[in-house]
Amino acid sequence: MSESSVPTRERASGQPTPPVVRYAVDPRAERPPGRLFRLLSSGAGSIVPVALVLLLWQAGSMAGLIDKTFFPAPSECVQALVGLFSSGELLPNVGITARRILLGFLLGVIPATLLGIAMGRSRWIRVLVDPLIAITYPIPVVAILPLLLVIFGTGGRPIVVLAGIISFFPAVVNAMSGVLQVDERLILMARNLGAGRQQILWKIVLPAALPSIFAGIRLAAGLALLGTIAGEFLAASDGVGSMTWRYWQIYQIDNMYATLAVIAAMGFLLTTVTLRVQRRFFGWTEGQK
Amino acid sequence: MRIEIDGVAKGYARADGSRLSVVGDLSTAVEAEEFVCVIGPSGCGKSTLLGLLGGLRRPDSGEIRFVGERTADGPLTSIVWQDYALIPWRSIVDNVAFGLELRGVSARRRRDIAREHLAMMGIEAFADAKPHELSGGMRQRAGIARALASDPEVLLMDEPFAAVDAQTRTLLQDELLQVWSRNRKTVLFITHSIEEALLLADRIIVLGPRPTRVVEEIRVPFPRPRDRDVELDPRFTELKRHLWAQLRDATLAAEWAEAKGER
Repeated sequence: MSESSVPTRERASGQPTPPVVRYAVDPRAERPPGRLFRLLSSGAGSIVPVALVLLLWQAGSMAGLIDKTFFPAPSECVQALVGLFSSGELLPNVGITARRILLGFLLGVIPATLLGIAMGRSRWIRVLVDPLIAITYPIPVVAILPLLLVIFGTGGRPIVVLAGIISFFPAVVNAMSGVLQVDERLILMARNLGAGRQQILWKIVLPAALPSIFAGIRLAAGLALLGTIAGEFLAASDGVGSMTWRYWQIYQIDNMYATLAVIAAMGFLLTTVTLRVQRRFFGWTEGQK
Repeated sequence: MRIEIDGVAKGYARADGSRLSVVGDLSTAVEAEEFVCVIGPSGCGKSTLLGLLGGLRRPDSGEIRFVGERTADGPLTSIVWQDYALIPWRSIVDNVAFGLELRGVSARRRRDIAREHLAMMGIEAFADAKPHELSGGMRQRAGIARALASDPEVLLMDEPFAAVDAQTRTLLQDELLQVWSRNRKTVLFITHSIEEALLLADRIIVLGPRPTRVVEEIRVPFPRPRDRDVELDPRFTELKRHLWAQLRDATLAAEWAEAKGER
């Protein structure tokens, strides 16, 4: 405060000016996001960082800064991808892998969800099954692939079973905890209005547990992909995973990258589709509590 | 219907295996179409009593009887919950229709009935909204609409206005008085508020600390139809002072008991 702004009355009375304290509010605290930020944070804008990395990679590769034997330029990977596609090698293998993922996913998720719901509803089933899950869950499932090969022979079946087992766990755990976390007050409310056990299950418990069940199913889908690819690496002569492995062994690095890109695309597709479904059907869970 | 509560006791097993007696040998009655408020110190077992009356718990001893011809189509009781207990994924109209849905009323008919009750509570505009989009007061209007649409013999209300702000609470009390004067159900209304009890009730039952017994029953003398002006009546102040004297010591005792971990 400058001297001239001090009220004259105070000066006239001869009293000292009382000290004045003000907050210095950080202007950044309430600055709205700028246009560039909003562009980048929009759905289409999320491509920008990805494109930037690819661009740097390409430039580095062309300038000779990146060793092409390990990291071939993105343009070469695209060429390799086009080659694999037009030679007719890629699509059948994608189909085989997709089928294994889907079968393994269903094989794991359907019994897991049913069991999880039963465990949530019945403390007897819970107390009997929970210890079994607790001791088998920490086993890295890939470690039992040799066992599966012994039981199911070679070919697609042990891989489907591997994907099934690996996707079983998150589905069962999430289904159970979803059922256990149902708001007890809603169950009391329904009972007071005359609901029976079946009605409570179908009208309260299952709808309330559905977001959690679905979250488990999403994790399971990702793990089914993981299990399938790992299985194909080690124990298959077809499928995208086995292509990746083979191109590594014969040292065609650009083809290896091309197949990796295909696997990544499958994973991205899986995540995006399941996320869309989740937003579409369970939007009501946002804005609660 | 008349409710007879005959020597009812209810306790719970503590974690250490001992038993905590919450309701101890409680006897009273609520007449048909009577509006009764229950007040008592916090933690005295009011909610346990409500669970017993609402058919959610069985008494350890004693009996609860509903006496008289059935006049309603719905369940014996329906509860209006303090925290509303609305189903979050259902629209308001489908929440209100829930009791009817449970007993197989057709979708069309139960929606019609639900909308009538929403209109009665003045919230038909929110029929298609989800509960989380509504204010606390609106949600409790929906809670009351659901309880009445279910068409019970007895309305049980568990501190229904405790979670809404003071102004809204005033509005809801007035609306409840109006609705009840047109649709006379037997009402058992649990509250912490002496003023609320004096405004709403024909009779007030005062409960003591755990194990809960009836300490006193008071007939509220104000004529119906009633409005807020009863607060100006000198008897209102008199009764308020008397009831607080009853509750004060019990409330203090309950607080001490809670502090000592006897919960």
